[in-house]
Amino acid sequence: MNRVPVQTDLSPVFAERLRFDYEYSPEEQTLRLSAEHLDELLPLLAEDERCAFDYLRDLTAKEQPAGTLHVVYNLLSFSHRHTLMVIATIPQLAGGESPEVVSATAWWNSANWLEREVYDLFGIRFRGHPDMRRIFLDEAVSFHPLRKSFQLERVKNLRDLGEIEGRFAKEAREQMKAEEARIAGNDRKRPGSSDSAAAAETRSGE
Amino acid sequence: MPQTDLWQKRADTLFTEEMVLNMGPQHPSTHGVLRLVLHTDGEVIKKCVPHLGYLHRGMEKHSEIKEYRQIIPLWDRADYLSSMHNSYIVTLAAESLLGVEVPRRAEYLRVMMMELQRLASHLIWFGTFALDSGAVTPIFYAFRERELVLDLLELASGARLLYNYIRPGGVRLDVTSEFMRRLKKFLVHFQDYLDEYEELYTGNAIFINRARNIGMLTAEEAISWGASGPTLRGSGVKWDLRKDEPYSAYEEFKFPVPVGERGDVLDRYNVRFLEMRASHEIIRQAMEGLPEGDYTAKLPTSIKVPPGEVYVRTESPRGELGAYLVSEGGKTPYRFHVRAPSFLNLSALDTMLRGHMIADVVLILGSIDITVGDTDR
Repeated sequence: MNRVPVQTDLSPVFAERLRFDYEYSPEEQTLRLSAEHLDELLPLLAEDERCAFDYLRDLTAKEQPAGTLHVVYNLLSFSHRHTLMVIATIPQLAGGESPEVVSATAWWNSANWLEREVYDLFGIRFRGHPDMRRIFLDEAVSFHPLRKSFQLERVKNLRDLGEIEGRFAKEAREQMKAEEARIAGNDRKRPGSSDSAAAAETRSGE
Repeated sequence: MPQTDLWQKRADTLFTEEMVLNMGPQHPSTHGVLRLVLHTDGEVIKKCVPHLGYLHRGMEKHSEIKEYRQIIPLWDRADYLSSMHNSYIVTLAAESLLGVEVPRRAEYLRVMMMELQRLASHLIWFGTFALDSGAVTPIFYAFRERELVLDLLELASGARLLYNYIRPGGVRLDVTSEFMRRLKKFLVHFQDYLDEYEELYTGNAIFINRARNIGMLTAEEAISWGASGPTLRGSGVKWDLRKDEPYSAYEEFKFPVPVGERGDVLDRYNVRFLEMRASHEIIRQAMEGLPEGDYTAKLPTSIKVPPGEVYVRTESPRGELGAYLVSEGGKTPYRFHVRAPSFLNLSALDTMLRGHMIADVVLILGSIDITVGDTDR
């Protein structure tokens, strides 16, 4: 375990400024709250002189067994040398609704790629992010692999491998066909446009 | 119409447009399968958009179905140039929740191996960076010395690149007297090698003119973009996790932390180069003060980690290597996330490149020392 030299008790700051329910533990340097209140909390952490968290060292997410999503921020202040872990719970969603949280890019640039990673792997969207695209996986895939509903398949017998790969190849072929059909459809909508113009349009989307 | 007005008129009507230039993913100087899309105005870069994911192997998902001892060799392959640090971050996360008492000899051996690994990694960086700048000779010198380091690591762990040496409780094997003898001999000569590099490359006027004042990153920008390691220290922020948030046995060693002033390519070069001397110093102290005792604590083969969550961080050759572990009490992690230093250092590349020439891209990219295995995981 890292030995942290500075342990600051921030409870007076939070008691003074935060007007909602939260759990703060000064020993563990952890703050738990609901993700709805992040847009009030993040500016306080970045701008208040007693907090002065200028370094967002990590941002990630996790899914609880019940399906609740958490966004986890790890912060550091270079001026005060203290750290804080913020765990924000996204409220339970109605079916089909995609989870959304306020983006931290307004205060820390490092949130830019970290939030894209979380969106890619968990499907959590960040409101106000300048460039909300997937970062590792292809835009054409429909899944978010770090969700617990995405199951890994164990290959017990190497003979099954061909079957599994065949299934993936079939899915990929279907996706490619759908993509081609979409491009062809766009092409038809705009009379006079040639194949190369349609291709250029899809390329500019990158 | 006077001649100058005519020129002006021609310049005004001249048709110019932004050009998009693709670099990679198969390019010898992107250090792996990285693709950069450069938006340029003539030869000047307006914007750079990196595309990642060519080496994404889903390691975080994979960690959720493997036991703790099994995911150590897996994460060795994340940043393949500093796999000792990757083994250690998994170990440290598990040990933090387990609360194991690690023997002091094991901690000293870990520090020794991690610093040898840092030397090996920085030597590769030194060679390839010089190659990126157009100097062909240094890479042969650097690989000659890296071979000696790899021989030492092979003698200790049995492997040259992916070690699986650091484990929960301690290390896999104790070092032999043969290892200590060869380490001692290596340390005597390594200083001379570094002096040789300095004569060969560091003081070279062509190199200094090439690397000065390009790829600038101010301290505020570096902090905001989450840069760490030599990229952050090159910008003048004195922050080294080995000193500021110490782990393992680092509190017991005395070593300098080199810091740059301007945050350009030359500063990052100097910081990394001086870090090799600092690592040499740490290895020497660890070798001389190596305590007697056990090299590992006794732990069962299949470890069950108590429920909890923790964020631990170490200083890898590339910067802050962090791990966020959530355990539900089982044999496998419930969630394991690694904060990759190359990933965030690379996100600052756009800021560093803007306004510079296309010819500088390779050198600036070389100066932040990324491993694509680390960015993509």
